[in-house]
Amino acid sequence: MLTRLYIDNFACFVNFEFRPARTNLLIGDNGTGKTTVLEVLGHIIDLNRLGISVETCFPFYRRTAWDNRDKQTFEIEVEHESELFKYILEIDHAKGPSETRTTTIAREEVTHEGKPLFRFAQGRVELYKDDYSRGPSFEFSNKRSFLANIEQSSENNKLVWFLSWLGRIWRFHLDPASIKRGGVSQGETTGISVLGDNFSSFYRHLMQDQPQVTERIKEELGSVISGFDHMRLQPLGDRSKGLFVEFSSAERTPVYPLPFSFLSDGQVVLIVLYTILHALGERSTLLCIDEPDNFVALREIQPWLQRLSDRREAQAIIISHNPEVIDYLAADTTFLFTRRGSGLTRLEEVNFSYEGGLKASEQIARGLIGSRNAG
Amino acid sequence: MPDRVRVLLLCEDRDQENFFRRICRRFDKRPRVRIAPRGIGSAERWVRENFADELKAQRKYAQERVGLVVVVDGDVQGVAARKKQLDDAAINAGLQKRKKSERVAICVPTRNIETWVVAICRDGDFNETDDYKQTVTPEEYRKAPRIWLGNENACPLPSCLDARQEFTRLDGQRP
Repeated sequence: MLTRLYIDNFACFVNFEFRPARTNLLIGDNGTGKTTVLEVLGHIIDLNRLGISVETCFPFYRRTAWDNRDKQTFEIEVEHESELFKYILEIDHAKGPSETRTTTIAREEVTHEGKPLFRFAQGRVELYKDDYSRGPSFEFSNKRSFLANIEQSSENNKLVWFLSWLGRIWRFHLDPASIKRGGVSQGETTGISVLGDNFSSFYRHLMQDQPQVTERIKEELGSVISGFDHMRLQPLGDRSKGLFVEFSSAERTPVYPLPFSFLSDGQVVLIVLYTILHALGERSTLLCIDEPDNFVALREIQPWLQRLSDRREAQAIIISHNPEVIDYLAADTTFLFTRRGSGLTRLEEVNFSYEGGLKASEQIARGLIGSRNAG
Repeated sequence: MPDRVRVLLLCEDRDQENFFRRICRRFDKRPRVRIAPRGIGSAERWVRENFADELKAQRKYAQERVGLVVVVDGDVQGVAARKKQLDDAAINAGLQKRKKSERVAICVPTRNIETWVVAICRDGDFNETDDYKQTVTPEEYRKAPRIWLGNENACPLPSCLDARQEFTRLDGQRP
Protein backbone atom coordinates (compact mmCIF):
# COMPACT_ATOMS: atom_id res chain seq x y z
CA MET A 1 0.00 0.00 0.00
CA LEU A 2 1.20 3.50 -0.83
CA THR A 3 1.79 5.14 2.53
CA ARG A 4 3.56 8.33 1.53
CA LEU A 5 4.11 10.54 -1.50
CA TYR A 6 6.47 13.48 -1.13
CA ILE A 7 6.81 16.21 -3.76
CA ASP A 8 9.10 19.21 -3.62
CA ASN A 9 9.34 21.93 -6.29
CA PHE A 10 6.80 20.63 -8.79
CA ALA A 11 3.83 22.77 -9.94
CA CYS A 12 2.02 23.94 -6.78
CA PHE A 13 3.81 21.48 -4.49
CA VAL A 14 6.63 22.60 -2.21
CA ASN A 15 7.68 20.26 0.57
CA PHE A 16 4.34 18.55 0.10
CA GLU A 17 3.51 15.28 1.83
CA PHE A 18 0.51 13.02 1.20
CA ARG A 19 -0.08 9.99 3.42
CA PRO A 20 -2.96 8.08 1.88
CA ALA A 21 -5.11 5.45 3.60
CA ARG A 22 -6.78 2.45 1.95
CA THR A 23 -9.65 4.32 0.28
CA ASN A 24 -9.12 8.04 -0.22
CA LEU A 25 -11.37 10.82 -1.40
CA LEU A 26 -9.59 13.99 -2.58
CA ILE A 27 -11.66 17.15 -2.45
CA GLY A 28 -10.94 20.85 -2.86
CA ASP A 29 -11.56 23.82 -5.09
CA ASN A 30 -10.54 23.80 -8.74
CA GLY A 31 -6.83 24.36 -9.25
CA THR A 32 -5.72 23.15 -5.82
CA GLY A 33 -3.57 20.30 -7.17
CA LYS A 34 -5.69 17.16 -6.77
CA THR A 35 -5.20 15.99 -10.34
CA THR A 36 -1.56 17.05 -10.29
CA VAL A 37 -0.83 14.64 -7.43
CA LEU A 38 -1.99 11.76 -9.59
CA GLU A 39 -0.04 13.17 -12.55
CA VAL A 40 3.17 12.99 -10.53
CA LEU A 41 2.61 9.29 -9.88
CA GLY A 42 2.06 8.84 -13.61
CA HIS A 43 5.27 10.68 -14.50
CA ILE A 44 7.31 8.58 -12.07
CA ILE A 45 5.92 5.41 -13.63
CA ASP A 46 6.62 6.76 -17.14
CA LEU A 47 10.22 7.36 -16.07
CA ASN A 48 11.10 4.16 -14.26
CA ARG A 49 8.77 1.61 -15.84
CA LEU A 50 8.38 2.82 -19.42
CA GLY A 51 11.89 4.26 -19.75
CA ILE A 52 10.76 7.68 -20.98
CA SER A 53 13.40 10.40 -20.65
CA VAL A 54 13.49 12.50 -17.50
CA GLU A 55 13.26 15.67 -19.60
CA THR A 56 9.95 14.48 -21.08
CA CYS A 57 8.51 13.31 -17.77
CA PHE A 58 9.65 16.28 -15.69
CA PRO A 59 10.38 19.28 -17.98
CA PHE A 60 11.97 22.21 -16.15
CA TYR A 61 8.91 24.44 -16.66
CA ARG A 62 6.91 22.18 -14.32
CA ARG A 63 9.03 23.37 -11.41
CA THR A 64 7.14 25.51 -8.93
CA ALA A 65 6.76 28.89 -10.66
CA TRP A 66 8.03 31.05 -7.81
CA ASP A 67 10.77 28.67 -6.69
CA ASN A 68 14.25 29.29 -8.14
CA ARG A 69 15.79 26.04 -7.03
CA ASP A 70 17.10 23.78 -9.78
CA LYS A 71 16.44 20.62 -7.77
CA GLN A 72 13.16 18.70 -7.64
CA THR A 73 12.56 15.82 -5.22
CA PHE A 74 10.00 13.02 -5.30
CA GLU A 75 9.64 10.21 -2.79
CA ILE A 76 7.33 7.21 -2.63
CA GLU A 77 6.89 4.88 0.35
CA VAL A 78 5.12 1.57 0.01
CA GLU A 79 4.31 -0.75 2.88
CA HIS A 80 4.12 -4.46 2.15
CA GLU A 81 3.67 -7.08 4.88
CA SER A 82 4.82 -4.53 7.47
CA GLU A 83 8.03 -3.84 5.52
CA LEU A 84 8.83 -0.47 3.98
CA PHE A 85 10.02 0.14 0.43
CA LYS A 86 11.19 3.66 -0.33
CA TYR A 87 11.88 5.32 -3.67
CA ILE A 88 13.74 8.62 -3.98
CA LEU A 89 14.15 10.63 -7.16
CA GLU A 90 16.11 13.88 -7.36
CA ILE A 91 16.11 15.80 -10.61
CA ASP A 92 18.48 18.60 -11.51
CA HIS A 93 17.49 21.34 -13.98
CA ALA A 94 20.84 23.12 -14.05
CA LYS A 95 21.40 26.11 -16.32
CA GLY A 96 24.18 25.66 -18.81
CA PRO A 97 26.58 28.34 -20.04
CA SER A 98 24.15 29.40 -22.78
CA GLU A 99 21.28 29.74 -20.31
CA THR A 100 19.69 26.54 -21.63
CA ARG A 101 18.43 24.05 -19.05
CA THR A 102 19.71 20.51 -18.84
CA THR A 103 17.39 18.10 -17.04
CA THR A 104 19.12 15.11 -15.48
CA ILE A 105 18.59 12.52 -12.79
CA ALA A 106 20.85 13.58 -9.91
CA ARG A 107 19.91 10.71 -7.64
CA GLU A 108 17.60 7.72 -7.77
CA GLU A 109 17.31 5.11 -5.04
CA VAL A 110 15.18 2.19 -3.95
CA THR A 111 15.58 0.93 -0.41
CA HIS A 112 13.93 -1.82 1.60
CA GLU A 113 13.75 -1.35 5.36
CA GLY A 114 16.35 1.39 4.95
CA LYS A 115 18.83 -0.85 3.13
CA PRO A 116 19.79 -0.36 -0.53
CA LEU A 117 18.33 -2.29 -3.46
CA PHE A 118 19.26 0.22 -6.17
CA ARG A 119 21.31 3.41 -6.33
CA PHE A 120 22.06 5.85 -9.09
CA ALA A 121 24.20 8.96 -8.61
CA GLN A 122 26.85 10.84 -10.62
CA GLY A 123 26.18 8.75 -13.70
CA ARG A 124 26.77 5.45 -11.96
CA VAL A 125 24.33 2.60 -11.23
CA GLU A 126 24.88 0.37 -8.20
CA LEU A 127 22.76 -2.74 -7.98
CA TYR A 128 22.27 -4.67 -4.75
CA LYS A 129 21.10 -8.21 -4.09
CA ASP A 130 18.16 -9.27 -1.94
CA ASP A 131 20.54 -9.63 1.03
CA TYR A 132 21.70 -6.00 0.35
CA SER A 133 25.19 -7.07 -0.64
CA ARG A 134 26.72 -5.25 -3.60
CA GLY A 135 25.96 -6.44 -7.10
CA PRO A 136 27.15 -5.01 -10.41
CA SER A 137 28.11 -1.33 -10.71
CA PHE A 138 28.45 0.52 -14.03
CA GLU A 139 28.07 3.86 -15.78
CA PHE A 140 24.68 4.83 -17.20
CA SER A 141 23.04 7.88 -18.73
CA ASN A 142 21.54 10.43 -16.32
CA LYS A 143 18.78 11.20 -18.86
CA ARG A 144 16.82 8.03 -18.19
CA SER A 145 16.14 5.68 -15.30
CA PHE A 146 18.01 2.40 -15.39
CA LEU A 147 15.14 0.90 -13.38
CA ALA A 148 13.20 0.54 -16.65
CA ASN A 149 15.86 -1.97 -17.75
CA ILE A 150 15.80 -4.16 -14.65
CA GLU A 151 15.12 -7.82 -15.38
CA GLN A 152 14.24 -10.42 -12.79
CA SER A 153 16.96 -12.68 -11.51
CA SER A 154 17.24 -14.98 -8.52
CA GLU A 155 18.95 -12.22 -6.53
CA ASN A 156 16.77 -9.14 -7.04
CA ASN A 157 13.27 -10.29 -6.04
CA LYS A 158 12.71 -7.35 -3.68
CA LEU A 159 13.56 -4.72 -6.27
CA VAL A 160 11.48 -6.47 -8.93
CA TRP A 161 8.55 -6.72 -6.51
CA PHE A 162 8.67 -2.98 -5.89
CA LEU A 163 8.88 -2.14 -9.59
CA SER A 164 6.02 -4.51 -10.33
CA TRP A 165 4.00 -2.78 -7.60
CA LEU A 166 4.62 0.57 -9.26
CA GLY A 167 3.70 -0.85 -12.64
CA ARG A 168 0.29 -1.90 -11.38
CA ILE A 169 -0.79 1.60 -10.40
CA TRP A 170 -3.63 2.58 -12.73
CA ARG A 171 -4.63 6.20 -13.25
CA PHE A 172 -7.70 7.39 -15.13
CA HIS A 173 -9.29 10.66 -16.15
CA LEU A 174 -11.85 9.26 -18.57
CA ASP A 175 -12.93 11.35 -21.53
CA PRO A 176 -15.93 10.03 -23.51
CA ALA A 177 -14.92 11.79 -26.75
CA SER A 178 -11.49 10.15 -26.61
CA ILE A 179 -12.98 6.78 -25.69
CA LYS A 180 -15.32 6.92 -28.68
CA ARG A 181 -12.54 8.01 -31.04
CA GLY A 182 -10.72 4.85 -29.98
CA GLY A 183 -13.68 2.66 -30.99
CA VAL A 184 -11.60 1.01 -33.73
CA SER A 185 -8.75 -1.21 -32.62
CA GLN A 186 -5.56 -1.74 -34.60
CA GLY A 187 -4.15 -4.32 -32.20
CA GLU A 188 -4.12 -5.39 -28.57
CA THR A 189 -2.96 -3.46 -25.50
CA THR A 190 -2.64 -4.82 -21.98
CA GLY A 191 -3.84 -1.70 -20.15
CA ILE A 192 -6.30 1.15 -20.46
CA SER A 193 -4.84 4.62 -21.06
CA VAL A 194 -5.54 7.58 -18.76
CA LEU A 195 -8.24 9.00 -21.07
CA GLY A 196 -9.54 5.57 -22.09
CA ASP A 197 -8.79 6.22 -25.77
CA ASN A 198 -7.40 2.72 -26.36
CA PHE A 199 -10.40 0.95 -24.87
CA SER A 200 -11.29 -1.14 -27.91
CA SER A 201 -7.69 -2.42 -28.14
CA PHE A 202 -7.76 -3.34 -24.46
CA TYR A 203 -11.10 -5.10 -24.86
CA ARG A 204 -9.61 -6.98 -27.83
CA HIS A 205 -6.80 -8.14 -25.56
CA LEU A 206 -9.30 -9.17 -22.86
CA MET A 207 -11.33 -11.25 -25.30
CA GLN A 208 -8.19 -13.13 -26.30
CA ASP A 209 -6.54 -13.37 -22.94
CA GLN A 210 -9.31 -13.41 -20.31
CA PRO A 211 -12.65 -14.34 -21.89
CA GLN A 212 -14.03 -15.16 -18.44
CA VAL A 213 -13.55 -11.51 -17.46
CA THR A 214 -15.48 -10.32 -20.52
CA GLU A 215 -18.33 -12.60 -19.40
CA ARG A 216 -18.37 -10.94 -15.97
CA ILE A 217 -18.34 -7.49 -17.58
CA LYS A 218 -21.22 -8.50 -19.85
CA GLU A 219 -23.25 -9.76 -16.90
CA GLU A 220 -22.64 -6.63 -14.86
CA LEU A 221 -23.33 -4.18 -17.68
CA GLY A 222 -26.56 -6.01 -18.47
CA SER A 223 -27.95 -4.78 -15.16
CA VAL A 224 -26.42 -1.30 -15.48
CA ILE A 225 -27.21 -0.18 -19.04
CA SER A 226 -30.75 -0.65 -20.23
CA GLY A 227 -30.92 -3.07 -23.17
CA PHE A 228 -27.19 -3.91 -23.08
CA ASP A 229 -26.59 -7.42 -24.30
CA HIS A 230 -22.89 -7.77 -25.09
CA MET A 231 -19.87 -6.19 -26.82
CA ARG A 232 -18.12 -7.65 -29.83
CA LEU A 233 -15.29 -6.75 -32.18
CA GLN A 234 -16.03 -6.84 -35.89
CA PRO A 235 -13.22 -7.11 -38.46
CA LEU A 236 -13.00 -4.00 -40.64
CA GLY A 237 -10.13 -5.07 -42.89
CA ASP A 238 -6.38 -5.50 -42.35
CA ARG A 239 -5.82 -5.80 -38.64
CA SER A 240 -8.42 -3.26 -37.57
CA LYS A 241 -11.57 -4.22 -35.70
CA GLY A 242 -14.49 -2.04 -34.70
CA LEU A 243 -16.08 -2.31 -31.27
CA PHE A 244 -19.84 -2.77 -31.35
CA VAL A 245 -22.40 -3.04 -28.57
CA GLU A 246 -25.35 -5.33 -29.15
CA PHE A 247 -28.59 -4.02 -27.69
CA SER A 248 -31.97 -5.61 -27.30
CA SER A 249 -35.20 -3.67 -27.16
CA ALA A 250 -38.86 -4.38 -26.60
CA GLU A 251 -39.59 -3.17 -30.15
CA ARG A 252 -37.05 -5.25 -31.99
CA THR A 253 -35.64 -8.72 -31.62
CA PRO A 254 -33.11 -10.17 -31.84
CA VAL A 255 -30.33 -7.89 -30.66
CA TYR A 256 -29.06 -5.11 -32.89
CA PRO A 257 -25.50 -3.70 -33.04
CA LEU A 258 -24.44 -0.11 -32.44
CA PRO A 259 -20.91 1.12 -33.13
CA PHE A 260 -19.23 2.13 -29.87
CA SER A 261 -19.05 5.74 -31.06
CA PHE A 262 -22.88 5.87 -31.30
CA LEU A 263 -23.31 5.32 -27.57
CA SER A 264 -23.95 8.20 -25.19
CA ASP A 265 -21.09 9.74 -23.22
CA GLY A 266 -22.48 8.30 -20.01
CA GLN A 267 -22.83 4.82 -21.49
CA VAL A 268 -19.22 4.64 -22.71
CA VAL A 269 -17.91 5.91 -19.36
CA LEU A 270 -19.96 3.29 -17.50
CA ILE A 271 -18.64 0.55 -19.77
CA VAL A 272 -15.04 1.61 -19.15
CA LEU A 273 -15.57 2.08 -15.39
CA TYR A 274 -16.96 -1.43 -14.91
CA THR A 275 -14.28 -2.87 -17.20
CA ILE A 276 -11.64 -1.19 -15.04
CA LEU A 277 -13.02 -2.86 -11.91
CA HIS A 278 -13.40 -6.30 -13.44
CA ALA A 279 -10.31 -6.40 -15.62
CA LEU A 280 -7.78 -4.31 -13.69
CA GLY A 281 -9.29 -4.20 -10.22
CA GLU A 282 -7.96 -7.55 -9.08
CA ARG A 283 -4.42 -6.98 -10.27
CA SER A 284 -4.05 -3.28 -9.53
CA THR A 285 -2.10 -2.09 -6.52
CA LEU A 286 -3.50 1.42 -6.56
CA LEU A 287 -6.47 2.63 -8.58
CA CYS A 288 -6.57 6.41 -9.10
CA ILE A 289 -9.68 7.79 -10.76
CA ASP A 290 -10.26 11.46 -11.41
CA GLU A 291 -13.97 12.33 -11.34
CA PRO A 292 -15.45 8.92 -12.19
CA ASP A 293 -18.90 10.48 -11.84
CA ASN A 294 -18.53 12.70 -14.91
CA PHE A 295 -21.30 12.00 -17.46
CA VAL A 296 -22.74 9.18 -15.34
CA ALA A 297 -26.42 9.21 -14.35
CA LEU A 298 -27.06 9.95 -10.67
CA ARG A 299 -28.50 6.50 -9.94
CA GLU A 300 -25.50 4.76 -11.46
CA ILE A 301 -22.78 6.39 -9.38
CA GLN A 302 -23.27 4.66 -6.04
CA PRO A 303 -23.59 1.11 -7.43
CA TRP A 304 -20.19 1.53 -9.08
CA LEU A 305 -18.69 2.93 -5.86
CA GLN A 306 -20.10 -0.05 -3.98
CA ARG A 307 -18.31 -2.37 -6.40
CA LEU A 308 -15.12 -0.39 -5.79
CA SER A 309 -15.65 -0.72 -2.04
CA ASP A 310 -16.01 -4.51 -2.39
CA ARG A 311 -12.29 -4.63 -3.22
CA ARG A 312 -11.33 -4.47 0.46
CA GLU A 313 -7.60 -5.00 0.10
CA ALA A 314 -6.92 -2.80 -2.91
CA GLN A 315 -6.06 0.86 -2.49
CA ALA A 316 -7.98 3.60 -4.26
CA ILE A 317 -7.71 7.37 -4.67
CA ILE A 318 -10.82 9.08 -6.01
CA ILE A 319 -11.11 12.76 -6.91
CA SER A 320 -14.61 14.17 -7.00
CA HIS A 321 -16.79 17.24 -6.63
CA ASN A 322 -19.99 15.20 -6.87
CA PRO A 323 -22.23 15.10 -3.75
CA GLU A 324 -23.19 11.51 -4.48
CA VAL A 325 -19.54 10.42 -4.43
CA ILE A 326 -18.62 12.63 -1.50
CA ASP A 327 -21.44 11.44 0.77
CA TYR A 328 -20.63 7.80 0.08
CA LEU A 329 -16.83 8.04 0.34
CA ALA A 330 -16.91 10.39 3.35
CA ALA A 331 -17.11 7.15 5.35
CA ASP A 332 -13.50 6.52 4.31
CA THR A 333 -10.58 8.95 4.45
CA THR A 334 -11.11 12.41 2.96
CA PHE A 335 -8.30 14.84 2.15
CA LEU A 336 -8.91 18.53 1.51
CA PHE A 337 -6.60 20.39 -0.90
CA THR A 338 -6.39 24.16 -0.46
CA ARG A 339 -4.30 27.01 -1.89
CA ARG A 340 -4.15 30.65 -0.89
CA GLY A 341 -4.31 32.59 -4.12
CA SER A 342 -2.06 30.75 -6.53
CA GLY A 343 0.38 29.77 -3.79
CA LEU A 344 1.44 26.34 -2.68
CA THR A 345 -0.95 23.49 -2.01
CA ARG A 346 -1.79 22.55 1.55
CA LEU A 347 -3.32 19.25 2.49
CA GLU A 348 -5.31 18.19 5.52
CA GLU A 349 -7.41 15.21 6.48
CA VAL A 350 -11.02 16.20 6.97
CA ASN A 351 -13.23 15.42 9.92
CA PHE A 352 -16.85 16.11 9.11
CA SER A 353 -19.27 17.37 11.71
CA TYR A 354 -22.84 16.26 12.14
CA GLU A 355 -24.05 19.16 14.22
CA GLY A 356 -26.80 20.83 12.22
CA GLY A 357 -27.54 17.69 10.24
CA LEU A 358 -25.70 18.76 7.09
CA LYS A 359 -24.45 16.08 4.72
CA ALA A 360 -20.71 15.98 4.08
CA SER A 361 -21.21 17.35 0.56
CA GLU A 362 -23.28 20.24 1.88
CA GLN A 363 -20.58 21.08 4.44
CA ILE A 364 -18.10 21.28 1.56
CA ALA A 365 -20.45 23.33 -0.62
CA ARG A 366 -20.92 25.84 2.19
CA GLY A 367 -17.19 26.07 2.85
CA LEU A 368 -17.57 24.78 6.39
CA ILE A 369 -14.71 22.30 6.46
CA GLY A 370 -10.97 22.69 6.78
CA SER A 371 -8.82 24.43 9.36
CA ARG A 372 -9.13 27.83 7.64
CA ASN A 373 -12.82 27.68 8.45
CA ALA A 374 -12.42 26.43 12.00
CA GLY A 375 -13.63 28.83 14.64
CA MET B 1 -42.94 -13.18 -8.35
CA PRO B 2 -43.94 -9.91 -6.67
CA ASP B 3 -41.95 -6.73 -7.30
CA ARG B 4 -38.73 -6.63 -5.37
CA VAL B 5 -38.34 -4.33 -2.40
CA ARG B 6 -36.14 -1.29 -2.95
CA VAL B 7 -33.84 -1.13 0.04
CA LEU B 8 -32.17 1.81 1.74
CA LEU B 9 -29.41 0.73 4.10
CA LEU B 10 -28.62 3.21 6.87
CA CYS B 11 -25.47 2.26 8.75
CA GLU B 12 -22.53 3.46 10.83
CA ASP B 13 -19.43 2.47 8.89
CA ARG B 14 -17.91 0.63 5.94
CA ASP B 15 -17.57 -2.70 7.75
CA GLN B 16 -21.27 -2.77 8.56
CA GLU B 17 -22.07 -1.68 5.02
CA ASN B 18 -19.98 -4.38 3.40
CA PHE B 19 -21.74 -7.05 5.46
CA PHE B 20 -25.32 -5.83 5.27
CA ARG B 21 -25.24 -4.64 1.66
CA ARG B 22 -24.63 -8.22 0.61
CA ILE B 23 -27.57 -9.37 2.74
CA CYS B 24 -29.77 -6.62 1.31
CA ARG B 25 -29.00 -7.84 -2.22
CA ARG B 26 -31.30 -10.78 -1.46
CA PHE B 27 -34.14 -8.26 -1.55
CA ASP B 28 -32.78 -5.59 -3.91
CA LYS B 29 -29.95 -6.18 -6.39
CA ARG B 30 -28.89 -2.57 -6.02
CA PRO B 31 -29.54 -1.43 -2.46
CA ARG B 32 -28.87 2.22 -1.77
CA VAL B 33 -26.59 3.11 1.12
CA ARG B 34 -26.40 6.02 3.52
CA ILE B 35 -23.37 5.80 5.74
CA ALA B 36 -22.00 8.02 8.50
CA PRO B 37 -19.04 10.21 7.52
CA ARG B 38 -15.78 9.18 9.10
CA GLY B 39 -14.49 11.12 12.07
CA ILE B 40 -17.78 12.59 13.26
CA GLY B 41 -17.55 11.09 16.72
CA SER B 42 -20.54 8.88 17.42
CA ALA B 43 -21.68 7.18 14.23
CA GLU B 44 -24.46 5.51 16.22
CA ARG B 45 -25.84 8.95 17.00
CA TRP B 46 -25.62 9.88 13.31
CA VAL B 47 -27.70 6.83 12.39
CA ARG B 48 -30.22 7.61 15.14
CA GLU B 49 -30.55 11.23 14.04
CA ASN B 50 -31.05 10.25 10.40
CA PHE B 51 -33.42 7.40 11.25
CA ALA B 52 -36.42 9.69 11.73
CA ASP B 53 -35.98 11.29 8.30
CA GLU B 54 -35.65 7.92 6.62
CA LEU B 55 -38.65 6.54 8.51
CA LYS B 56 -40.69 9.51 7.31
CA ALA B 57 -39.56 8.89 3.72
CA GLN B 58 -40.28 5.18 4.05
CA ARG B 59 -43.84 5.93 5.12
CA LYS B 60 -44.37 8.44 2.33
CA TYR B 61 -43.29 5.95 -0.34
CA ALA B 62 -44.52 2.76 1.37
CA GLN B 63 -46.73 1.85 -1.60
CA GLU B 64 -43.58 1.85 -3.79
CA ARG B 65 -42.33 -1.21 -1.87
CA VAL B 66 -39.40 0.61 -0.34
CA GLY B 67 -37.68 -0.96 2.62
CA LEU B 68 -35.42 0.49 5.28
CA VAL B 69 -32.63 -1.47 6.94
CA VAL B 70 -31.03 0.29 9.91
CA VAL B 71 -27.79 -0.99 11.45
CA VAL B 72 -26.25 0.12 14.72
CA ASP B 73 -23.75 -1.76 16.85
CA GLY B 74 -25.15 -2.89 20.20
CA ASP B 75 -21.87 -2.07 21.98
CA VAL B 76 -22.51 -2.47 25.72
CA GLN B 77 -26.12 -1.32 25.38
CA GLY B 78 -27.53 -4.33 23.57
CA VAL B 79 -30.36 -4.94 21.14
CA ALA B 80 -33.41 -3.86 23.16
CA ALA B 81 -31.82 -0.60 24.32
CA ARG B 82 -30.72 0.33 20.79
CA LYS B 83 -34.17 -0.35 19.38
CA LYS B 84 -35.74 1.75 22.12
CA GLN B 85 -33.34 4.61 21.34
CA LEU B 86 -34.48 4.51 17.71
CA ASP B 87 -38.14 4.43 18.76
CA ASP B 88 -37.48 7.45 20.97
CA ALA B 89 -35.75 9.23 18.08
CA ALA B 90 -38.88 8.76 15.96
CA ILE B 91 -41.16 9.98 18.74
CA ASN B 92 -38.92 13.00 19.40
CA ALA B 93 -39.22 13.87 15.71
CA GLY B 94 -42.99 13.87 16.00
CA LEU B 95 -43.46 10.47 14.36
CA GLN B 96 -45.12 7.31 15.56
CA LYS B 97 -42.64 4.64 16.50
CA ARG B 98 -41.97 1.81 14.08
CA LYS B 99 -44.91 -0.55 13.49
CA LYS B 100 -44.66 -4.27 12.93
CA SER B 101 -46.37 -3.94 9.56
CA GLU B 102 -43.73 -1.55 8.20
CA ARG B 103 -40.85 -2.65 5.99
CA VAL B 104 -38.31 -1.38 8.48
CA ALA B 105 -35.68 -3.77 9.83
CA ILE B 106 -33.43 -2.77 12.70
CA CYS B 107 -30.30 -4.89 13.03
CA VAL B 108 -28.11 -4.52 16.12
CA PRO B 109 -24.90 -6.58 15.85
CA THR B 110 -23.72 -6.99 19.43
CA ARG B 111 -21.16 -6.29 20.55
CA ASN B 112 -20.39 -5.13 17.04
CA ILE B 113 -20.29 -6.44 13.48
CA GLU B 114 -16.89 -8.02 14.11
CA THR B 115 -18.47 -10.21 16.81
CA TRP B 116 -20.72 -11.66 14.15
CA VAL B 117 -17.87 -12.04 11.66
CA VAL B 118 -15.74 -14.10 14.05
CA ALA B 119 -18.74 -16.14 15.22
CA ILE B 120 -19.61 -16.90 11.59
CA CYS B 121 -16.11 -17.64 10.33
CA ARG B 122 -14.38 -19.35 13.24
CA ASP B 123 -14.92 -22.42 15.36
CA GLY B 124 -15.36 -21.87 19.07
CA ASP B 125 -17.58 -20.02 21.49
CA PHE B 126 -17.99 -16.29 21.16
CA ASN B 127 -20.03 -13.89 23.23
CA GLU B 128 -21.59 -10.46 22.75
CA THR B 129 -19.52 -8.88 25.52
CA ASP B 130 -15.92 -9.34 24.40
CA ASP B 131 -14.56 -7.12 21.64
CA TYR B 132 -12.99 -9.01 18.70
CA LYS B 133 -12.67 -5.93 16.46
CA GLN B 134 -8.90 -5.93 16.15
CA THR B 135 -8.65 -9.62 15.26
CA VAL B 136 -10.78 -9.81 12.11
CA THR B 137 -9.00 -10.39 8.79
CA PRO B 138 -10.05 -8.95 5.40
CA GLU B 139 -10.77 -12.49 4.22
CA GLU B 140 -13.16 -13.06 7.14
CA TYR B 141 -14.95 -9.78 6.42
CA ARG B 142 -15.36 -10.89 2.83
CA LYS B 143 -16.68 -14.38 3.38
CA ALA B 144 -18.88 -13.80 6.46
CA PRO B 145 -22.01 -12.50 4.66
CA ARG B 146 -21.88 -15.37 2.16
CA ILE B 147 -21.75 -17.94 4.96
CA TRP B 148 -24.49 -16.12 6.90
CA LEU B 149 -26.76 -16.18 3.85
CA GLY B 150 -26.07 -19.85 3.17
CA ASN B 151 -26.53 -21.19 6.67
CA GLU B 152 -29.29 -20.13 9.06
CA ASN B 153 -27.29 -21.53 11.95
CA ALA B 154 -24.07 -19.80 11.01
CA CYS B 155 -24.21 -17.43 13.96
CA PRO B 156 -26.17 -18.43 17.06
CA LEU B 157 -25.64 -15.13 18.88
CA PRO B 158 -28.96 -13.60 20.08
CA SER B 159 -28.42 -10.33 18.21
CA CYS B 160 -27.83 -12.26 15.01
CA LEU B 161 -30.96 -14.36 15.39
CA ASP B 162 -32.90 -11.19 16.10
CA ALA B 163 -31.58 -9.62 12.88
CA ARG B 164 -32.72 -12.62 10.83
CA GLN B 165 -36.20 -12.13 12.24
CA GLU B 166 -36.02 -8.39 11.53
CA PHE B 167 -35.37 -9.04 7.84
CA THR B 168 -38.72 -10.85 7.53
CA ARG B 169 -40.28 -7.40 7.87
CA LEU B 170 -39.06 -6.50 4.39
CA ASP B 171 -41.10 -9.05 2.46
CA GLY B 172 -41.99 -11.87 4.83
CA GLN B 173 -38.86 -13.86 3.83
CA ARG B 174 -35.83 -14.69 5.89
CA PRO B 175 -32.62 -13.92 3.99
